[in-house]
Amino acid sequence: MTTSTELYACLYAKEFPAQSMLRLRPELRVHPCVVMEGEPPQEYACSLNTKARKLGIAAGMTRVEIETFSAVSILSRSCMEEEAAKAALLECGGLFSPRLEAGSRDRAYFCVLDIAGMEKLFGPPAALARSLLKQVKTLGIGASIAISSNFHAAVCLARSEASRMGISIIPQGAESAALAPLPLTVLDLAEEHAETFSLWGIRTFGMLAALPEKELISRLGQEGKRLRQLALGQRPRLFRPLESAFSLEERMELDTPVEQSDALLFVVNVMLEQLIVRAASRTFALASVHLALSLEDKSFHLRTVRPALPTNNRPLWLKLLQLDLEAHPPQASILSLTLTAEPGSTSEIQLGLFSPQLPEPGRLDVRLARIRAIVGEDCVGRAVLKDTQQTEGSRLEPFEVPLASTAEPRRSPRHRVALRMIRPPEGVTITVRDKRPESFFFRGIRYVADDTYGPWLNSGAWWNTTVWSLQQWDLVARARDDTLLCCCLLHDLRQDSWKMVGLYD
Amino acid sequence: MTEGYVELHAASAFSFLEGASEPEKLIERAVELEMPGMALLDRNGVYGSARFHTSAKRNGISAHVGAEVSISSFGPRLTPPAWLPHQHTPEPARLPLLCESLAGYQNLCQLITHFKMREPVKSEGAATWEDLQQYSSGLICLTGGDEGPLAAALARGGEEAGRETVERLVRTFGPSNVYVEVQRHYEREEEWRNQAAIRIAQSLHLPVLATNGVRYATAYEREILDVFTAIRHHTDLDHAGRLLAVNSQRHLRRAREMARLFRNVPSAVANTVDLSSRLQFRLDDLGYKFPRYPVPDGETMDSFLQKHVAEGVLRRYGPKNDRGLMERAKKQVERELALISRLGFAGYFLIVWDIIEFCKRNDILVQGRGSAANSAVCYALEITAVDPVGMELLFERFLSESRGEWPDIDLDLPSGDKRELAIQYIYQRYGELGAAMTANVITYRHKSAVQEVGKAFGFNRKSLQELSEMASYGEWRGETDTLAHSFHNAGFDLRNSRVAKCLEVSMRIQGLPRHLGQHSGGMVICQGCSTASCLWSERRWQAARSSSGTKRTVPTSASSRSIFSASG
Repeated sequence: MTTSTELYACLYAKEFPAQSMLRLRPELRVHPCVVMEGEPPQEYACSLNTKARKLGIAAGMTRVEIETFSAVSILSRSCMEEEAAKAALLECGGLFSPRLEAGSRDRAYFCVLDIAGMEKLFGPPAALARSLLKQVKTLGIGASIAISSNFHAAVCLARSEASRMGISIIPQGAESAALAPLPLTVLDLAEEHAETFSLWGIRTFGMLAALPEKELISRLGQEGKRLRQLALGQRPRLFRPLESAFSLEERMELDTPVEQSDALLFVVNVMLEQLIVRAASRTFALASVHLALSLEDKSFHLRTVRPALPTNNRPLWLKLLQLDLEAHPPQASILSLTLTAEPGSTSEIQLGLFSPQLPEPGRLDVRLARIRAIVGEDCVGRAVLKDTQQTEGSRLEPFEVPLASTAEPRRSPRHRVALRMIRPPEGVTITVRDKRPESFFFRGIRYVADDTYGPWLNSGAWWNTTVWSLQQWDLVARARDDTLLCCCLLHDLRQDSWKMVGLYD
Repeated sequence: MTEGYVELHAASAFSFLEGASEPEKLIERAVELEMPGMALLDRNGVYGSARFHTSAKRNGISAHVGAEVSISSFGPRLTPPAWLPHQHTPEPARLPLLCESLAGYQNLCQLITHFKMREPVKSEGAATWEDLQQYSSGLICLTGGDEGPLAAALARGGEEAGRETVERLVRTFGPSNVYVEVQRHYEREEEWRNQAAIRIAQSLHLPVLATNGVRYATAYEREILDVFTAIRHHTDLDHAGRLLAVNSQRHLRRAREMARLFRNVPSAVANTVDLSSRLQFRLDDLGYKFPRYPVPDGETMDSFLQKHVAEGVLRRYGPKNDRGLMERAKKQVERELALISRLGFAGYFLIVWDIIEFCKRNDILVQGRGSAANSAVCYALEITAVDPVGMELLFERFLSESRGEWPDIDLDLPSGDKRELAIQYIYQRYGELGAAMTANVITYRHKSAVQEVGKAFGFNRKSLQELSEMASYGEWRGETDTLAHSFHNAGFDLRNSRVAKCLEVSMRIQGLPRHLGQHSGGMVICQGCSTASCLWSERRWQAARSSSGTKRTVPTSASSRSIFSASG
């Protein structure tokens, strides 16, 4: 059921493909016009104006049939012009209410405005409707308007009155009476239901509304209940207003091709400023910036810069982009550039009231960008262990500034010995006795094992080509000069190779 | 030779996705290793013990019975530390319990039944300290491997916490009934726990016991266990990570190997033989008794049965007006009754007759079938409808003293409310703990195997759907009705090593238990408390529905009659 606070105005434009084309061709409005769709020779009429209909032309006719009529203008359907017309219509509706929901049905386009509470701005609903209709007419579009406190009632009435292109207002509580004379064809019934109602002799909303609910449900199921509610003008609906997409993009075509990427920075600076202003207007910051350079050799040079934290610091962004372009310069002259940004939250981070002064995140990003330029993109980050039984299972993740203070790590009750991992592991030449290491050469020195612990066996990925099977040994070994070495040796059983993987402190 | 070692902590595929070998395969491997005995400790149940016992008996190996029982009071079992990425979910620690005597077995069944029936929703359930204290008699307690309470306590609070846990076990089971278990699987983290366990054992004067925490018969079956782990955690092998085994060392080992592995603790291996000799209980004598059928004063069950059979003979053969047939029938029933009396089965026949009488009184169609039709006693009692004397059917096909089997009478009832009436009558007649529906062990077949193994291998849903449609339900339709053909027809390239491995594993898990289900109509009836001879699991969430749609709470027994007959 609709509540007393709801009020909707449905703006219904029939034959929208034709109207959207004739909107920009006023000289054709006085002639019969037909809009064709499909690939020749199988084109068919998808929309037509009133003058064409009066001639006897109907939707679905082929070009050959239409050409038998004289003085008919035939146009090809243009989705682009329809989109533009829709945008214009929505913009027009937006002048009267910030909450609009749009839809299409057959060849019509409609948008429903939530006009509850708009009386103080635009006067009573009738006045609003008149103003809206007048505004729509200036766009070159003909439409009908229906106002009701029930969403579906407004749409149904507007649809039925589409030919009149007038205004209909349903007083609150009078929905069923207002909808009673409407034909059932307004409801877009399924074929089987249409046939059923036809057999029953039910032709109008009023007749459908008069049917007993339980019996209707028992015959048609829940669909019967839905149709009856629509006929009564009591079907509730959750209004889903359109939300315009928020995109941060700036584009510029250069007057002359630019070879030096440094020369771009001035232009990039201006574009960054625009992006930051637009993001800041919605209390966002830039989380990442994608730079797409169109090159003279018809290729594209794509780069993405993402600092640790979203920021609106323009000099920082400029520096990061500069460093990135220096590390990855384009291979040809630049013809145009596009900057696209992703918005992010601007929340500040307090790392601790008494924590020592840390480098600002911005400076950290610059430093990291410089390091990446030297060692490579994939070689900077923090090591994170992988969920695998493999001994060297780790990967690099980008550094992140923690958003919340992390809990103190729980102290392990056991005393741990420090193991210095050797990466990459170094090969050793080994002597084995009774399947246990006896002596080995490491960094040119011969060691003899005093004590050997192990082996510790580790194997996995047997279902893959990356199968591994390893033995680890902990050794206390002594060199000729009595130097002690506590180390960890790895024996790869598949390759039968021995490596030194770590030294114990 | 392995006579110096007995594996006292092995789990079979009846641990449902936590073991990779059938009980028979474990016994087969034990025979190869010349191991004199083995203990089967499946998870929260004794589901595999009957097959284990039968196979062991056939091969001359001592089959010890026990179970790994989840105990919530010990806290969660050992998992990788929090700083290591892993997907382990918290589970209660599990206490390995071995049955020393019949009383121990009865207590073990009752313990498991007790906590399973306590769960209000579908879950494994876990026992508490109070449960352990109530049902500890006759049980030997081990401290477990990495799934056990000692490992959990050591990880949580160090050696002190470990000692407290073991002391608690000693107070519950008694100092002579607790063994400190040590396992060596060539894993780094294990050894410090072993050293702590040995120190605790020395300080508390407890024996140390070496086991291998066996999950599969041979190292090759580690692959099955990994696939089961992926299935159990609803993930695939590539993403299972630390859920999978770290190596393939949880297999049966020779005594020589165990002696070498525990050369610094030689008594740990020798204690396995000592403990094995203590464990006297065998599944041969479950202490199961047929319920006593209440008979009038002055009658015994045999005389009561004889009386009703005599009446039945007159009723059945009288109208036939054939004196010769009547004489033969009387001689036949006399012979059968003598055998029934000798074997002590009078109560069984009376119970079945009682059910038949109930059905007749309540207009429920009922019919005995199978080899019971060969029995003149069954014919006289109106259990069956075929005249075995006139048809010259062989009684020994139904019951024979030399076979040493129990009688098996299947009653067919119509589905629906009538059948439900009969089932409810049995519950009312024999009490809540005297009757239960029989559980079914659902095993892998072609379709289920390819679906689950394929998912574990990471194949996409569409391909698995096609493969599953190709795989048959098991009825062999011809030479081309093989899994390999199904894979090929579904578009899988068998030259791809991953696909080939998936096919291989799918074939290897055929027949392995997947989970426990409920038999459509089998029931177990016992004198007094049937939970003393078999264990129950509460299945409220899967309550049997009659055709009228009414739900009822149904306890299910995990031992079927066929298992009983195999043990008898």
